[in-house]
Amino acid sequence: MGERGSGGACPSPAGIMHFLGVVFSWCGIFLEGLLILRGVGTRMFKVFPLFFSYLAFCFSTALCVYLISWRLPGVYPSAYWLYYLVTILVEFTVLVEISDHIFRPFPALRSLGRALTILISVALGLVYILPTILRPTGRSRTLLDFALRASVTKALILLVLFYVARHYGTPLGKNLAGIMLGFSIYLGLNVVMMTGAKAYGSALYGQVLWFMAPLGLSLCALVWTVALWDLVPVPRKEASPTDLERNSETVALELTRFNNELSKLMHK
Amino acid sequence: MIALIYAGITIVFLLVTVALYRKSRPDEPDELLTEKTCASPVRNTRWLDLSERLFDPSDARWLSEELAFPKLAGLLTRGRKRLAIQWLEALQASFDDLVRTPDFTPSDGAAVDSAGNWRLLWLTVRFKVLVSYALLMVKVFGPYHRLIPSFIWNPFTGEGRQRLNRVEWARNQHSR
Repeated sequence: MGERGSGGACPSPAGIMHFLGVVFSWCGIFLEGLLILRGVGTRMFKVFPLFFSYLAFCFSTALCVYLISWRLPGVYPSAYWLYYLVTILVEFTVLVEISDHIFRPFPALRSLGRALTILISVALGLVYILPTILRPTGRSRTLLDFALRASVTKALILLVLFYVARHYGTPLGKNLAGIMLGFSIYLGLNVVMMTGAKAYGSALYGQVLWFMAPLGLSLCALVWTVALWDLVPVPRKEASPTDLERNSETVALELTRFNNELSKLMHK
Repeated sequence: MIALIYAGITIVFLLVTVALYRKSRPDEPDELLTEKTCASPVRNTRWLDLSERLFDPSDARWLSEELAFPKLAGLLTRGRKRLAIQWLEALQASFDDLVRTPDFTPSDGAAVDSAGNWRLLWLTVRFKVLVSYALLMVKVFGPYHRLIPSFIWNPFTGEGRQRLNRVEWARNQHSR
């Protein structure tokens, strides 16, 4: 996950804080591994392919980074930053997975989630995130700013998706709602940590960041593990005879009819 | 200061997320889904004919110009405006019902990102934008105002060119 192993960037504390950081970090990795195994066992990875590929990426890269820090400490800083940057971008796949599933039952809105995700990402990417890269103020500060703004963008996308789902009465189901809730907790903690690091400086904040980042990851992985332990079908309302007649083609025809009627009225 | 703003954003974000999550719990049937869907008004020709009368200014013009009852005409216009708003809102509600109807036919994963879905989304967004615009226009200018601005003054548009041709033709007739 985004800030795992932040101790590579910040001074790592000694004693109990160091121990807590390592324990939380391994807890997160363990839960991710457990979730991947469970996903393979229940064939849930076929339902949420992007989400499980993201989990597999996090799990394998975290192990690789730990291996590098142990065997090749000289290469570790470059490897860590590369991993960190890629992870910030890869996290968007979780949003794509959520947006693909959220309106799946409704033919007229099936692409709405993806459209919203793309629209908000591009708009905030250009206006809010890009300026941090174009006006660099030192590597760690730029990265911190970039990570913070990317997290705020992801949080906003998630909030909009939650709101629109609520507006249209979309039944989320335990699995999808769990993915959204876990990711929300993770993003919320991320924003707090990044802001704290920015405001108080990495040296002062390093000690808290050291165990807060893996704690956020572990909490998120715990929510995901509970929510995705079993594949729970999304509850549906009972179909009326007119509903059973409706499919994508009939909905398309009715939508066209609605649009035509309104266009006729507009051109009067 | 920035830190406080971001901390505030995070707290609000987490609170709203948890509130929305609780409201969309799967074991609570959503009232929007359990509502009975009414028959689509676009299939009802009488309902559609109603719009012809609602947005037609001839009655009000007849009252005001031919019978010289401007107050009565104003009263009729106000009543028609209220009905026109209700008609548009009903059209919107019935459209929302259609949009909220789930697909009960079994679908495979490949159908999720097809071009057809993007076309449906385009039709949905187009309708929502147009109906919101129409509602705004009716609320501000009343039911007898043109919903699409007229470009009759512009000779380069089709509408303007037609009018120019008609004027030219009338002038020629007159000169003969």
